[in-house]
Amino acid sequence: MADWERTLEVLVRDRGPALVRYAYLLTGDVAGAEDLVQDAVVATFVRRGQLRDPGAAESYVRRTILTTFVDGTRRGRRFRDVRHLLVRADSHEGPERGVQERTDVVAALADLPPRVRACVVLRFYEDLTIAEIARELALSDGAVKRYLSDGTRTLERRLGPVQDDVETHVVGGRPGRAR
Amino acid sequence: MNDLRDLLHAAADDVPAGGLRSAALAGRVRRRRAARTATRSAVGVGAVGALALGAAQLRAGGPGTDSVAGADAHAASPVAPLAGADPGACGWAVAPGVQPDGTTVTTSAATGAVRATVLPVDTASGGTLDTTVVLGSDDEDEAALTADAVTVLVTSDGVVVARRDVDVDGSAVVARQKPWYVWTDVPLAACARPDGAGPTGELTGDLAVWVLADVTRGSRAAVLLGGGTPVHVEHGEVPGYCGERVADLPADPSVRLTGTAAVGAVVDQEFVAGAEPFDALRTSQQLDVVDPGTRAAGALGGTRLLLTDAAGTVVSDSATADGGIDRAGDAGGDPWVGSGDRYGGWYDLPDVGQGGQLLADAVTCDGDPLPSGTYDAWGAMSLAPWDPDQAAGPALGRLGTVTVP
Repeated sequence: MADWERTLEVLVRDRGPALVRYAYLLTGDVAGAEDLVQDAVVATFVRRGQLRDPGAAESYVRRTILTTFVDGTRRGRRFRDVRHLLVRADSHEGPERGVQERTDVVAALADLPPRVRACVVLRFYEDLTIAEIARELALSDGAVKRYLSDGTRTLERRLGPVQDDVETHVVGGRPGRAR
Repeated sequence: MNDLRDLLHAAADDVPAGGLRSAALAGRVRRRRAARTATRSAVGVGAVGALALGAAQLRAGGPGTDSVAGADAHAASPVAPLAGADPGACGWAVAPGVQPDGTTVTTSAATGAVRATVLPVDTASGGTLDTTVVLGSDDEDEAALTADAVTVLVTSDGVVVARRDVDVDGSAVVARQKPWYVWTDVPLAACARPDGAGPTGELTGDLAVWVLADVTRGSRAAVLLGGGTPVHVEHGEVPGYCGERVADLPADPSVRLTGTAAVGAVVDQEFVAGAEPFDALRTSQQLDVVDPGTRAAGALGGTRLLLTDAAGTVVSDSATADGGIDRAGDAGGDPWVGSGDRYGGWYDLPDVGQGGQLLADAVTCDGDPLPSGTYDAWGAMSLAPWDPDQAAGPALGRLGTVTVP
C-alpha cells in the first residue's frame, strides 16, 4: 500500500465522520454531504501525490469541501434541492423538542444563500475568526461580518432569538493558513 | 435564547457515521491519476496546433462574424447545429445576431457599457472545467449591473455540446476597473439534445468556452456573448503541459508576462524562499499589454508556474500538481469575488499591468518531490478578451531559474 493510500485510509477512518458532519451543515442532507466529502477527498489525493500527514490532508479536504460548495452551480442545485426536501413540520413542545430543533436549524440553514451559510458554519461550527473566514472565502472582513449579520437575522426568523458574538468578536485574529 | 453553536453541533451530531469507504475512494483516486497520466501522454501536437491556429487567425486580422461560430472548428466529424435552438441551448450554433426566438445576441465589443467574458482557469478538475465568468463595464463611473441569466457554454465546431446555467446572486456594482466575477464549473460531458444528435459522453477535441449573459445596466440591456477561448479536451479532461517542450507551447505575442519564481518552504504560515525542505514554489507574475493596438482588452486569470529541464521539457506544472493559492493583486477585498483557487482581473492597462501570485507544491509531474537541480521557471496565465473574434492562446513568459539544492 502506497503512503498516500495509508493517509487516505487513516483520514477516512478517523476523520471521515467529522468531515461529513461539517459538509452536512453546508448541504443540508446526508447523501449530499457524503458526495461532497468523497469528491473533495478524491480531488485532494489526485492532486497531491505525496500526502502523508492525515492532518494536512484533512485541511486540504476541508478547503476543497468549502470551495466546491460555495463555488459554481453545484451550490445552486444543492441549495434548491435541499430547500424543498426540508419543509419543516410545525413547531411543538414535547419530548421530541430536541430533534425538532435540530431539524429546524438545518432547515433554517437551507434558507441562507450558500456564501452566507458558509460564513455561519465556519463561525459557529468551525469556530474560525472573522479574519480566518475572510481568508477562506476571499472576502473582506466587512463582508464576512455583513454575511454573518444577515445570516443570524435570517436564522432568527426561523429559530427565534439566537445568541451570537459577531459584533463583539475582535477582528483580526491569528493569521490564516498560508495554503 | 438559542445558542447557535449548540444548535449546529447538535444538528451535525445527528449525522450517522459510516458512509465513506476508503477502499472505494482510493480506487477513484487511482483511476483519476491513471486517466490524467494517459491524457498527458496523448496530448501534444494536436492541442498546440489548434491553439496556434487561433493565434494565427488573430495576427491575420481575425475571422469575420461568421467565424465566431467556427473558432474551435476541427475537420473530423463536425457537429451539426440544432435547427431553431434557443440561445444557449444544447445544439445552439454560437453566433451573434437575431436568434430564432427573436432574441438579439450581441458581443461585448458591440456594447461597451456592459461586457462579458469567461476564463477557463482550472485544468485539473476531472470531468469538469472550472471557469471564471467576468461581467463588467467600460465606463469609469460605478453603476448597478444586474445579471438575470448567465450560462457557460462549451462548443465544438461552434455548436453547444455542454453547458451550465450559473446561479448568480443578483446584482452588483461594476465599473471599468471593478468587474463582477462568478465562478462556476462546466461539465466536459456532452449535453443531451432533443434531436438526439451531437456527441455523447465525455468530450474530446478542440473546443471553446463561451459565456452568454443576460445583463442590464440602467436603461441598457443586452444578451451578451463573450469568451470563445480555445480549450483542448481529452476524454473529459483538460491536459496539463507536462512533457511538452516549452518552446512549443502557445503564447500570445501581444502581451508580456514577467515576474519571479522561488523554491522554499512555508514557515509559520509564510513562504520563505530558500528554506528547507524545499517543498513549496512561489511565483509572482505581471502581465503587460505590449501591443494594445492589435489586442482587445479582456480578463486574465489562472496563474500557473511551469518548470523545465535542460532540454526545455516541462517537468513540473502547478496546474496539475496542486491547486495552490492563486490571487489577483486587487481581488482580495471585493465581496463579489468568490472563494477558492481562482481569480480574474483586467489586462487592459498597458502602463500599470496586472498580475497574480501562486503558491504550489514543489513536485514533479508525477507528484514526486523535485530532485536537486536548476530549472527554468515559466509563468503562464489564461486570457479571455472581450471580443470573441480575438480569442487566442494564453500568456507565457520566462521568469528565471529555480534551484533545488
